Amino acid sequence: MIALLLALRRVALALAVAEDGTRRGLARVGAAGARTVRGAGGMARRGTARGGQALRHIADHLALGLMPAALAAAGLEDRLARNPAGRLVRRVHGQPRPDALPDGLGDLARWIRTDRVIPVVLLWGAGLAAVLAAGGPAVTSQAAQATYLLLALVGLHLLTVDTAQPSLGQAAFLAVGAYLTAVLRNRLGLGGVEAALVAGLLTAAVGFVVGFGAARLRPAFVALATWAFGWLVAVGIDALPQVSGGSAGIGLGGPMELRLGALGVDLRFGTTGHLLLGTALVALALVALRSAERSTVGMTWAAMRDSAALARALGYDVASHRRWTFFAAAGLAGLAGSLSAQAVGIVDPTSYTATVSLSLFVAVLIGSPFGVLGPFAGLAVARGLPALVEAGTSQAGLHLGQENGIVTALLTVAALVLALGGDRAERWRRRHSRRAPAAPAAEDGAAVAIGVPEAGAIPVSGTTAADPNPAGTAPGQARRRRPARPTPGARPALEVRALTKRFGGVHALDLVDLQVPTGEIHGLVGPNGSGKSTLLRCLSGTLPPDGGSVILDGRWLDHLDETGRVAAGIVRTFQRTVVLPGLTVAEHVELGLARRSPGSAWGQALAKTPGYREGARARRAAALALLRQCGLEGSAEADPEALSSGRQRLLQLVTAAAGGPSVLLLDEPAAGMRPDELELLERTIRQLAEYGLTLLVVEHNLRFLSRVVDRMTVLREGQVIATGRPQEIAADPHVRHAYLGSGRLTSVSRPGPVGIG
Amino acid sequence: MSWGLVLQVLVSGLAAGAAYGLVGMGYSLIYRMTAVLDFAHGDLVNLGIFAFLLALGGGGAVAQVGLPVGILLLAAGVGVAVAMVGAMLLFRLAVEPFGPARAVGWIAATAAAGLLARGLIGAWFSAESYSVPDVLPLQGLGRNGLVDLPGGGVLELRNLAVLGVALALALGFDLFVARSRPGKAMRAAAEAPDTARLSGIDTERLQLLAWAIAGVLTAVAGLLLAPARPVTLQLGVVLGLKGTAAAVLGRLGSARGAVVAGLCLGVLESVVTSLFVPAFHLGSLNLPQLGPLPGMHDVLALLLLVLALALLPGRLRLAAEAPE
Repeated sequence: MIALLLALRRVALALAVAEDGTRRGLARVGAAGARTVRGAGGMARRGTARGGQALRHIADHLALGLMPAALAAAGLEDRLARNPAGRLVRRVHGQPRPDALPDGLGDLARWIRTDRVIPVVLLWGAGLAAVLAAGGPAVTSQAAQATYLLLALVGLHLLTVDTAQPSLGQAAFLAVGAYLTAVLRNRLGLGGVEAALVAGLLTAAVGFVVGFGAARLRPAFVALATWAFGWLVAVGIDALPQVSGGSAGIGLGGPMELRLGALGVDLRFGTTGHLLLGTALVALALVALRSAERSTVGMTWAAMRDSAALARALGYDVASHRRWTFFAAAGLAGLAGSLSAQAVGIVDPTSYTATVSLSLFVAVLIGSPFGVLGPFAGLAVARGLPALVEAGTSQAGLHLGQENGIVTALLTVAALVLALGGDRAERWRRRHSRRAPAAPAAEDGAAVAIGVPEAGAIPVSGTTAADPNPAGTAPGQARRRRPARPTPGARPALEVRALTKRFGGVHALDLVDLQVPTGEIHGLVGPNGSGKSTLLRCLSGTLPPDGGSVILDGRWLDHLDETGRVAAGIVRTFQRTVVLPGLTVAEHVELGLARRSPGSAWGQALAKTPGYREGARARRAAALALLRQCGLEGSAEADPEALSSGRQRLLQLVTAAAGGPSVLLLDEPAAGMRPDELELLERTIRQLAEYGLTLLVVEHNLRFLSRVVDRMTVLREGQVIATGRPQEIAADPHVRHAYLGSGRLTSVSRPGPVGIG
Repeated sequence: MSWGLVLQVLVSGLAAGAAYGLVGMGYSLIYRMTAVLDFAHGDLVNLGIFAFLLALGGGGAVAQVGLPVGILLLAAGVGVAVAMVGAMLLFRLAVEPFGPARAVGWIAATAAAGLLARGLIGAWFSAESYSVPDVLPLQGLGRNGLVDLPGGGVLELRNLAVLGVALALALGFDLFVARSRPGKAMRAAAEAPDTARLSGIDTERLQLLAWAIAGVLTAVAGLLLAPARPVTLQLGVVLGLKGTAAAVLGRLGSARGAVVAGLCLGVLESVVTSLFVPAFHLGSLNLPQLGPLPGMHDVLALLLLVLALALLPGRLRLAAEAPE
């Protein structure tokens, strides 16, 4: 029966993705159902084939009836229609057609393998059993305390390792949770469980407030803010003994109880109960953390961690993400603090000192090379060793352990030497920050099956597409190949009116006017210091102008910051290439796609809902298709740092385009490119423009630019001195004068890239 | 409220604030010269104070009055020297191996160094708290070092002396940076390290010098403030954090800003603890009646630091631009 239910669930999952009800897909539903049946082992072997048959039959009917609704729910159709990159993908490769089924069990199995879940569970179970069977109340109580510390440690891991916000104040959040519990229970008369939940939530809110400012700061200042907060709490406990109970602490009076009259639940948590509760909570928190790390959320974290600037340029609200991680980390600590105080029946201020905070931080450092085992290993070393030393030296009256902090300090040094001295941490980060390191074969297979490039589509491989002699392609030929575009003369997509920016007495931009119609590739040239980059920064919102307006599709953008403008449809690339060491090439593009795409919400990503899986698969397919466009599909699984600098720039371009902007600002996209890469760049830019993207390209390589662009604008000392088609520009006497003083501008017509300025 | 009381509150606040300013100047200098934050800054205060106590009494009881001025100054010199060496070691062992880019490294290493210092000091000095003799023996002047003010206030002469010494040191440091050769080299190295190195300036030695100066300033501040209160290891840490608050509020990197912010912080603390707090009740929360809150000024300073980081990020903010 259970097996049948499981199988039906799989069918339901399949429905969320079944797109056109292909026989192959439905056959796989049946096969998967059969696998489940077999795996559950409850059904007789002979029933398997029949079960599969029956399921296939059911699925056939359900799929036909429910598919459109499922598609609409996934929001895929809608999104692809709105997104130029998506239109491009669909045109060349047809609809992204999810081929594999949402294989939740497969993903689970992969996770169990890569994270060595089974040894962890066995070890943990053995330890738990040993404590429960042989340990006295004191040992059980200590184990419960350690388990609750683990819970706080999971939160600290989220802050410190995942989002690069080193927190030196985690013990302070434990304290907030514990003291709030005392207030809630002793003064407001709440029950233990309710008090724990409320304290956890309130502590999370405190964390959000602390993180509110800290989220905007560089990592070192996050550490300073949390360090100061830790001491604020410690000093506050000392300074307000009337409230905090001083060094004696506060008794909580009675154990934690859970009474739900309606359900007949009446639990009283002893030390054993707390140990089991803590174990369950830690397991839950760890699974949620790993699930998030292996999802789009984890990808976003990696981007925020390694280049906040890139994450912002792609439209992610970095500060908001950071604040919510503070919320989660503090919430876990608050819950842990509340429960652990209730487990011992007293709120003890010595449990929340700066030494405890530091030892938790060290536990994260020590644990970081061990993946999901990390918190266990870290806590065992960082808290266990000082306890052992304390036990050993207290006989001699020395007390060198826990309270004193010497051992913790030495451990920190040892951990630093081990973790940061070598490149172990780096290697670990790369290995673990990936969402799904395993099974590239299966996923690739799925993606490849999505669409073979149609006849006449652009060549795909970078090496085969490479024209050994691109200079032989005359500009005229390239122009003739270009497909029809939306008619120019319509309302401009991007309009700049009287934009002005001064730096001191220098007019970097002086009443710049610019109009770029939809689908136009517009070049922006000028000698160094003429204001090109300043213009891009004012357009993208990273630099506030002193005057003037930016209008996109009739909408005034002047009040919007960078994130707002990305949302409105302006995305830019950087002059200097930024790649994220923690993500593969394909994941870079997925990062661009994931913003605002279905299934990228936290909750969905954590629970790995069918909608999320569908979104992830569609993103993957679209990413691979986009990479194919620019000849990078062979490197989809590669480390982007292994690419040539030219290909890294291509990757950047594709990543920026993947977010579905209507205007793309490219800052020297051709810098450092080889001839074959220039060819790929040209094709990619053309393709994007053909599908309705408007491009503004700053470039020094005038030969390349005049071949690619429809029109170009020349800036000089912050002023527009000419706008027009490349031929007109080349003939313009003002432009010649700006570049060459007097004489002829030869670089446009002569082959061979010429960098000016 | 009489003018005498106002003056009393003001002077005691300025004296404490000047000491915070000294600590903050050191913190700012370290940030400006080496682009790191010192998480063991308060423990340099501890090093200074406890080395002073060690030199005087070997860890045992120390006579509070009647010590010859020469011996006091000698011991103070020992304390300052130990803090200076401690700061230099901190730079060499806990900061340099990582470089400014590996933030987690020096954050953890300096924090651990502070913890280690507290642990070692705590293993030797195991009493709850200590009294520290005054390096500025002014008890002979006035009425036991006090001058009665019209209207009921009392002026502590040592507060004036503390203020004077601290401001003199700050002024001296300012002149050193503005006029002297190494001071100019330091400014150059802070503004443009690479250019400075190309012009033959040994930036590494200047960084070490910056840490040494910070150690000296911090220890002096500790020795100036410690005699007025029972000294624990937490006192040093909190003083370090108040210096940090002064440095952050005074625009991190600016020595003058740190001094001004420190003075303001001191006066604010003094005003809050002496004027407002006795009238401060939490009766409506059904809590026990609160008397004067001696520890509140520490809470206030730390709260200000946390708020400053939250609300005035200014240039501490994450780089919004990709490096271009």
